[in-house]
Amino acid sequence: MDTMPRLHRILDIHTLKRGLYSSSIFIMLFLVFGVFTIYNRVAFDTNYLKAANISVIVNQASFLMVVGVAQAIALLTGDVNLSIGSVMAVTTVLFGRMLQQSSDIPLFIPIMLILFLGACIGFLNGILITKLKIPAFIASFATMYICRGFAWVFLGKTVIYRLDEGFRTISMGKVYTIGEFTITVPMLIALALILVVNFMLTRSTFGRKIYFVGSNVVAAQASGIPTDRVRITNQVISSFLAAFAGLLYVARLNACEPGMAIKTHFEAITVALLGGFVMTGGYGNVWGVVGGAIIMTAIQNGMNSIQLPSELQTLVMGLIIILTVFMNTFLLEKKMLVADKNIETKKAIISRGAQI
Amino acid sequence: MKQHKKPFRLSNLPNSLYVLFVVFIAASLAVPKFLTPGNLSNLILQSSILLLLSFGMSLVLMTGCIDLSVGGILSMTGVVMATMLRMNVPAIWAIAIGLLTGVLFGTMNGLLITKLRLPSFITTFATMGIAQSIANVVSEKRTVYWDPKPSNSLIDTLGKDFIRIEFGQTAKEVLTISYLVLITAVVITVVMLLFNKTTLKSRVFAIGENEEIARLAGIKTHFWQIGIYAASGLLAAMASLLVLIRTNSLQPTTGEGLEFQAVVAAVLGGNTLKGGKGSLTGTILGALALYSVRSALSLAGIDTSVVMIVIGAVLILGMWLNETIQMYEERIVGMLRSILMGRNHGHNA
Repeated sequence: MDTMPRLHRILDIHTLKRGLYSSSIFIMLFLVFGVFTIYNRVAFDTNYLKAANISVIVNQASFLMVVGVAQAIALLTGDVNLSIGSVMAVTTVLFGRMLQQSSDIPLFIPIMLILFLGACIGFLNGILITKLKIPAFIASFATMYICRGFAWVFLGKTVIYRLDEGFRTISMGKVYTIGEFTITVPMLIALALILVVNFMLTRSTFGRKIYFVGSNVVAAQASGIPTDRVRITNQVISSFLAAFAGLLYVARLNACEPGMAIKTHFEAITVALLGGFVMTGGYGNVWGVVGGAIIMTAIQNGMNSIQLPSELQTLVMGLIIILTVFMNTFLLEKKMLVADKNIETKKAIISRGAQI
Repeated sequence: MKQHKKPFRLSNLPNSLYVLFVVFIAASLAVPKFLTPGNLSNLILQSSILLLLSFGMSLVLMTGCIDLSVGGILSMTGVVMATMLRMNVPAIWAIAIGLLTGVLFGTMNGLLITKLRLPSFITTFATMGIAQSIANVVSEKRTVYWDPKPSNSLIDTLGKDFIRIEFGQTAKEVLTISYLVLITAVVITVVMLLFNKTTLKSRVFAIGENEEIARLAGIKTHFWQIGIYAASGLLAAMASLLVLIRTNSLQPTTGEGLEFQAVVAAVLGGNTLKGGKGSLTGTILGALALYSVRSALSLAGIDTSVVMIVIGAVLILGMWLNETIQMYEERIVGMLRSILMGRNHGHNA
């Protein structure tokens, strides 16, 4: 008779625990911000947590979010995409040259062409991975070399700078200021992207197919999902977003150069993995990427604010990455345990209820 | 236990044999300076550094993990050794401590991955940053030199040639084998003997195939995984020793990007990223194939940006060739047989 309230109570505690265990990235975020705030307050008597600084951090993180989402989508089917940085370089180099050649065509034509080119490179990646059965790591490594090589061949050692000012608003534009916190265009772009991708992954059939293919390709194939098509589409989306990120970076730097974004593939993987995605695929929530990107930028920003020498920054970064990933795995196991217990108690209660 | 000899099949050959074959023939035909004793000895010397790294990488890949920190370990141990030489520590001690550092760092990788159950990709990526930053801090981001002294004459000796066969007067007609190549050969032989003639191979493959089942079958999975990571660290430290001897100085950024080349050489050699299979012979051929491409293109005077494109294309071609030859093996063998026997079996295939 009184099983129902008990059921609710137990479920509530467990839901709470599960919520806690799946938010490791935000616990980490809290820790990082806490440490830097205290250090800044004690050592320099400056306020790390002031709205202007947070705004700078979130603005920078927005760029990382775009590449992070590009990588996360690729990781979902277990096909890592190492060519992100090079795709950014090769597409933007062409973009810069197009802008230079003719200034009277409307801006959206080169932008469309560039995004299409990014999608094409993704399609090539997808074909290599699925049809030629080359492991994604190697296939995207090869395209990384090829794209980077083309960028160098195309532009040589020159740099194209001073781009169209109207175009630069997508990275530099400010929308609204609340107190000292400035909402910028990149923030809105990143937010829109996250919302769209989240909708696609959680609410659409295609998104669920991606998760299914990622957790078990053979089972997905056996249940009639065109796995090759899903993986190719996934790679196309990933490279498309990479080209888009390239445009954002170019607009921020106001220059196109073949050597840009040389370590972005690593950054993207780090952001995605910090956000709770796994290399084997089939697990992860896009909102984690937001946390991962903000952590990365907050650490960079914080280390600069306490004037840590650059050679020590990689060391601290490495330690923090290990710590975060450890917390992710540790808490994930706990979460699974709670889920198991949850199911067991439910079963026990239901069976007891049936007996009564 | 006597091993049964496997029947000859094309897919039993190391995959990278075809790649090396194609690359070698193409390079010899296209670049006249490629197939000279001088260039070949240079090629072997250059590839020996990558060879040691990719040996460690292959072992790690076979257990189903990856070790991205080899480049960082190379820089770090190199800086440690060079700084010791600079401080007038006898060469033998400097080398011993350098190698020990590599082993310890590798063990730390292994401990993180097994005991804390962290994913290997991101963990070794983070430790790569840590090792690289230790190298930068110790060397203060400058190339480390040392003065030649009797205490470090060993380094000079090891830099000399072991065998020198002159086919002619000019430098390109002299085949040289230096002590470095000899060291590499000895290390490679030892690793291959340990791997192929002991139970190491089956243990590593079992762990790579399914760690849980390997553990239930009584294999000390954590012990062997840590051991493999330590071996990878040791091999990286040896590679840095080769760099140190060859250049007589050490840049703290030497190892950057080498981890990817090591993965490429290992994968060209038929090792998969999933683990559970692979071959060390294949890795040797893969590393040689990679450096043959580089050497041929640089001899032909081709721009480095084009070299990148070609290497990417060779990588795709090589992987595709591996896959295709495995897929069409029956048909190819049938075709060869029909050509050799003079009968036409082609219609049956």
